[in-house]
Amino acid sequence: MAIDAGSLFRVLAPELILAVGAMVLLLATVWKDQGNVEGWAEGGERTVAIARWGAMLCAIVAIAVIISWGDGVSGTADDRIAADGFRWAIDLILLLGTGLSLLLLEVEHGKSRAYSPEVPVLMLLALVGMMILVAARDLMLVFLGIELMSIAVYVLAGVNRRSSRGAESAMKYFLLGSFSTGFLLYGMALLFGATGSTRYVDIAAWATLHPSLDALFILGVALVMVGFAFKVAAAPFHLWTPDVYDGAPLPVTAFMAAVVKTAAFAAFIRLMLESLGTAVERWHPAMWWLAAITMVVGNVLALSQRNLVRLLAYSSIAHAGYLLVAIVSNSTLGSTALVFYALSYTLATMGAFAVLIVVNKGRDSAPTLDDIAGLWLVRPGIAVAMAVFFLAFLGMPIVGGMGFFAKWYILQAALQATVPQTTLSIVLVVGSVVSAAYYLNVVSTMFMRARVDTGTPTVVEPRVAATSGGIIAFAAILLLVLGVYPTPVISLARRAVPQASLVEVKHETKPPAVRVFRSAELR
Amino acid sequence: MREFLLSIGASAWVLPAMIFFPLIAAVIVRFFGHEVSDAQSRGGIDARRLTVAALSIEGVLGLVLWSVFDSGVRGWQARVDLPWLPDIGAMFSVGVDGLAVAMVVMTVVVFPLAFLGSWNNIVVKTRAFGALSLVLLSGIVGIFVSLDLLLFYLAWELMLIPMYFLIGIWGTGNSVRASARYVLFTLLGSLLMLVAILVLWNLGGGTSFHIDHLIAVQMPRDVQIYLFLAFFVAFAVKSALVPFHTWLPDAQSSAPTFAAVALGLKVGMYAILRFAIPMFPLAALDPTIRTTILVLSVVGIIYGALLAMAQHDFKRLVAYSSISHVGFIMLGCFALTQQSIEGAVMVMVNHGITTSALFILAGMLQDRRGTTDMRAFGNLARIMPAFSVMLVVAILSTFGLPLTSGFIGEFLVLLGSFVERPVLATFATTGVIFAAIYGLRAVQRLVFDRNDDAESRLIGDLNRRELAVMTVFTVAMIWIGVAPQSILQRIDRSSIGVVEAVRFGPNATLPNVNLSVVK
Repeated sequence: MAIDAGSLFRVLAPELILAVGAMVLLLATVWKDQGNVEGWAEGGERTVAIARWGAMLCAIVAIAVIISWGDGVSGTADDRIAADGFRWAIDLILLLGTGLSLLLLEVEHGKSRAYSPEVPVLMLLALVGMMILVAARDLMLVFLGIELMSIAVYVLAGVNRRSSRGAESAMKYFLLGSFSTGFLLYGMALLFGATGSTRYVDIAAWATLHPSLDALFILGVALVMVGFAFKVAAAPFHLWTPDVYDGAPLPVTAFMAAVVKTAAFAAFIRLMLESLGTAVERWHPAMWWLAAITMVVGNVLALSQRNLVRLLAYSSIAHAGYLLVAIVSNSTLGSTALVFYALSYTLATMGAFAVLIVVNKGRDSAPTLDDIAGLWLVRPGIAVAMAVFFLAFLGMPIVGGMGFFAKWYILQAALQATVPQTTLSIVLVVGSVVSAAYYLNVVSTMFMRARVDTGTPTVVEPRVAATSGGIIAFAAILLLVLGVYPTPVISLARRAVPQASLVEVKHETKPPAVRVFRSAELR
Repeated sequence: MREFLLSIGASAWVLPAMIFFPLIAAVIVRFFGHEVSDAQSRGGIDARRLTVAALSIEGVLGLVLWSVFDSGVRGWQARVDLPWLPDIGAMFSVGVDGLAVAMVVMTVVVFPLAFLGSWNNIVVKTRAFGALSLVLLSGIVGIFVSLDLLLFYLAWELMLIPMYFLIGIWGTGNSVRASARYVLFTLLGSLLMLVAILVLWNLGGGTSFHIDHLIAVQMPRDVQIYLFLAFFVAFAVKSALVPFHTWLPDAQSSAPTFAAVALGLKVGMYAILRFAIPMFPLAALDPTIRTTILVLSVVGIIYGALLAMAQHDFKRLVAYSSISHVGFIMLGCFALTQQSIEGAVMVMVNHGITTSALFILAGMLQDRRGTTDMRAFGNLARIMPAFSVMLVVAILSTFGLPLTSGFIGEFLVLLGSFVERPVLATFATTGVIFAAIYGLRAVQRLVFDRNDDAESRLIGDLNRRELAVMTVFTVAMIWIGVAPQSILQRIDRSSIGVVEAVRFGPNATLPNVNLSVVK
């Protein structure tokens, strides 16, 4: 198929805006005075501000472009790049998450003065990678996107040059990340070897035509799944998550936990649905167990954490398990649920990390439960907002806002699937009950315990800057409002259906090839 | 009065008003109320006064509902349907029948009294306390009046979080642990119920959560049984049926008075009667399930009463006695005769009033002495004569002395269930005897026994506010005991409805069959 340059440009316009913006900002910050490394000079501060606001501007322009299109751009120049509602919905969530991360960076920078002007530029580059990843309908593009994203995030994890924990975190992330990329690439190569193509359309067609077991194909699928399981931190490939989250600077951790994870999941679900959806019976049991183990491991290990970042890391593993349930359902309902969940999770994560940055007061160690003990007594607004975020993670209706409907749509996808996933739904809700124990522990620490006496003569209560207060209020209010009136997000998510039609067309042309599987085969 | 209320369209707005008014009032209390110390030193309205005013307005709304309710009509009344989530078919649909109207009016009348009766129980952070109390009330009213299952679920969970904070922050003793246990136990049940709601919604075509729609869904028997069990466990945990009761004594004894009263409202039992039994009749009539539940009920009646006998702490005694009452309610619900169901509703109403009165009385002791251990008290007949009178009436009502509100409910339950299961009903009768033992022993220890502890003589009798609150409770207990018809005639048709729905299918009617004895 010939590539029409004009429509290709149109379809990639948001990515191009961000990429060009990132390069311009990079050059601008290199030319500007950065001050010396230790004491940031006035000029250095200005450069940091330019980079940050420039990055924000790029993100806002990209959001404006996507919104102005509305439903306009749905045609695609090429079957390797998707231009569907799913991509635009996820892109908006990624852009929102990145914008909030940039603001968090400003708050943290105001406290610790640890970041150079390249950090916002790296976030932009990671964002470009993620947006390509979400659009990709070709294994090569997936790899391109995932590498662009990962390399930028490896650097981001270690960006605080004065922190040895940051360096350790970045090193671990880099080593394990490249290891997982190796799996992914190997899997892709095997898939190419089996099917003779890297395009999703061709792989789906091949899988429909070859319903029998094929070792090369199965191995390829397995290795690709392992690669993605690393990226989304699904157990048993989750071991890097707590260490990396714990060591990285808090705004970067928020970025990794919310934005990077959303992008990886979006690409994962598109891959499974569009290219391997016809071979569902071959990967279904593995995905089922991956989801179940991830939910159990994440929730159980989170129970004993006192370090709040590690707690959020394990809880993010549990949430990865819930999202895997959406993939297991193997339907477009799953992708709708993913969009809804991603928005809810991004808002709650950004808000929670904003609170952590406030209570951590710029220290180089992660905040613990002691830091938030009795927070309600000194900063009631922050404590109430944090309670909303944690109840949203828990999935409480009304008081947890959107969190409830996020879980609702996952459960709906699981139970309305071709093969209803009742057992997995029960694992999910039992996992939620376990998660209630540690989420409520955080809430009760804030509301029902006294402040911890640190022994210092003057106990400095956390100060809330306008930016952090704004982020916290924005996230909490949006969560609560969308929790009683989710219709706008639902209509966004409804349009967000990956074009499974690619696959369905093949179904119609060759119906006997689709194996009808019994419920006994699929748990 | 009724004509006037109908002429201003009361039946069209009273239920939404009862759900949303407390939420608005909660915001007002939080942001315009003042803490006790501020209100005294710098002026401004005490948040507690605002809360009581809001709770009283809600009580008046409840009385409006009571007057517009037409006991001669079967089906939902004061019904309001508003669109809410069109894409999954959820509606804001509220309405009441006889069961709901009895429960909701009892609740909104008890709440302001409970708040007034525990006026000095909470003196710190009163703005938050008042606001959370109002949110809690909104959730409980929502549970009683929701006809849409998703709305019901939201109200069900909305009740949970305010209660968690009320117990955890303002409770005594190991209240943080008790409140966490309460939430975790309830959540396990209610999340399984959420899955069941989703499955049921799917079976109904995924277009509506309305109870009338879901009741008509045809399901095979085994599906009904699984769904029934999911609903039943959620409701049984919430209402503390043995063996799901272990959270209740800790939560209720460490909770502040107001929260303890709210925990005593049997929302779970109401939900069983409203949802679990009519929606899954094959499961409710399944001999194994039914016998198991009936046996558990009777075990609960006796076990709760035996444990109540062993308590030294008055609040724990009341908590265990309520486990015993839950057994009666459950026995009445699953005996599935008209008398037994009417009796179960009467026990729920009586329990709501009597147990509230007992917890308020216990709270008065606690506020005066800092403990509710009965060994620390004695000779209250002399020290607190008015208190003692109120206590004796409430205790008599709790074990069902004729002419108190406790009698009519337990009598109807036993009568109705004897027809179905004579042996179990006979065992259940012993519960009344045990109740008399622990009740009278508590009266003896608190009111009559000598106590040489000097401190115990220094406590004052009820003040005018407390006396007024307790007088209302006492009058209500005796009034219901003497003239229960005003409630019975309202729940009459709804109870017949439940029995018919289970035994003859959702749309069947029994012509000219009068099963009622009390008319």
